[in-house]
Amino acid sequence: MNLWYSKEMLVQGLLQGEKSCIEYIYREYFPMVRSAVGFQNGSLADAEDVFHDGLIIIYDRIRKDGFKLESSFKTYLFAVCRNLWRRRLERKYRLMYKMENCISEPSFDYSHVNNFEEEEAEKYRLYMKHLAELPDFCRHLLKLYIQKIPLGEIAGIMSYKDAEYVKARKYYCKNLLRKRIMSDPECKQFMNYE
Amino acid sequence: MNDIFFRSEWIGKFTDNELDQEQEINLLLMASENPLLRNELRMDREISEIFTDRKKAELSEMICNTIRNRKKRISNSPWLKIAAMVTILVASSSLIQVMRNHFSKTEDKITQEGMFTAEKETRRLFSLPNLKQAYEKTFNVRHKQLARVQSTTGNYMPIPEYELLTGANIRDQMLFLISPYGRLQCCQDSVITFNWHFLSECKPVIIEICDNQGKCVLKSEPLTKPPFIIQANFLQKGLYYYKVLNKDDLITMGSICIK
Repeated sequence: MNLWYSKEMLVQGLLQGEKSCIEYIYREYFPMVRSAVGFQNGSLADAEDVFHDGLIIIYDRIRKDGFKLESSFKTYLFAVCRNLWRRRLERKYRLMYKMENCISEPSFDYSHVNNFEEEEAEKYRLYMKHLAELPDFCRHLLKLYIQKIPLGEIAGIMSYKDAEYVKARKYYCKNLLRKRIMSDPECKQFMNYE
Repeated sequence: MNDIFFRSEWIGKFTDNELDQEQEINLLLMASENPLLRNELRMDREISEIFTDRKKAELSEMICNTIRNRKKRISNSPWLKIAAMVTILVASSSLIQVMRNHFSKTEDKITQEGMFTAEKETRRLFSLPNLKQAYEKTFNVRHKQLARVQSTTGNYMPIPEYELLTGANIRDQMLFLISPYGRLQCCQDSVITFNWHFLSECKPVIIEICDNQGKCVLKSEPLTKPPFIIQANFLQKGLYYYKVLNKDDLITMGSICIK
């Protein structure tokens, strides 16, 4: 059944992490993001990444106090995703945009994505991607750890002998995750901290 | 001591504040000299931060799953496959129907006009290899019709030499042929009347009718006065040539097309 969501419902749904709401956003708004990204030489995978990161950025903003959605959710998401993709293109091709060629779009000002937000969202997606690709036992263990289940209980659930062993496995899995992330070529852009 | 080994172990413990003071100092000393290690320490802290924000992690996973499931659903949807198959079937059957209609129209055209050979038609139809199967069923009926058409069209093939002489007076005008016209077209149930008027002296004339092969099918006795009447049903359908002769000399000539 296809429900209709108002912008307030979408904001609340995103904040609560409602599956039906996410599906609605994807079904209704992803084609728009895909065409915008595709129009600027992006692939389907790029559009999916931008869509994911855009939603994460909006989620972070919603959580902050004083967030007020002045436009429709569609416009806001589109603006965020478009800004994200522009930044990525700039970084990817080192394009120099001339200011006189830019079309003035005041409605896009409020949805301006800063460097920090963009980088955080991209990093987050990268980490989650590698977390999903870990071996089953590692993924399961780290998910239980994320849910803040005590180590003793995790040992019981995963049939390990004690909490110490769970801790050792957790370090092993985190190390594995870190190594995988660091060996990812996409990660290299985040490594220039100094 | 293997630096890499203990470093990997210590990074996680450092983030969780589980290193003792001496290990922590050693690690920080190493990190101050090694930018890669500093990066690793930062990354480990960020990964730990991901783990602290459970709701965000779940949301991210949900978005990824939605994208993945949606793609899978679109590519593996059985309804989509069934719909595609039905569309293909409907399109192909309607195409066959259109082709059949086209053939039946062509068939009608063949029987109506009958002015081309079976060979030509067959070559034209078989030059389209995809149409061969659709054509196969109706081939026998069609072949018979084409054979009939060919046999009838053969009777209408003109003789070029005779065509040149049709309607022309060859000898001195000893008579004026009132009827028939130089090129007469009539049905099988009509009557053909040969009527003439002598311009000079009355000399006996002979009327000879040949078929389109040049074979004489009718030759009259020498006629001293008009008219000379024949029933067209005496002749079969086809193209004939009549000659008006004086003894062996040709006076005039014409064609009769019986339909």
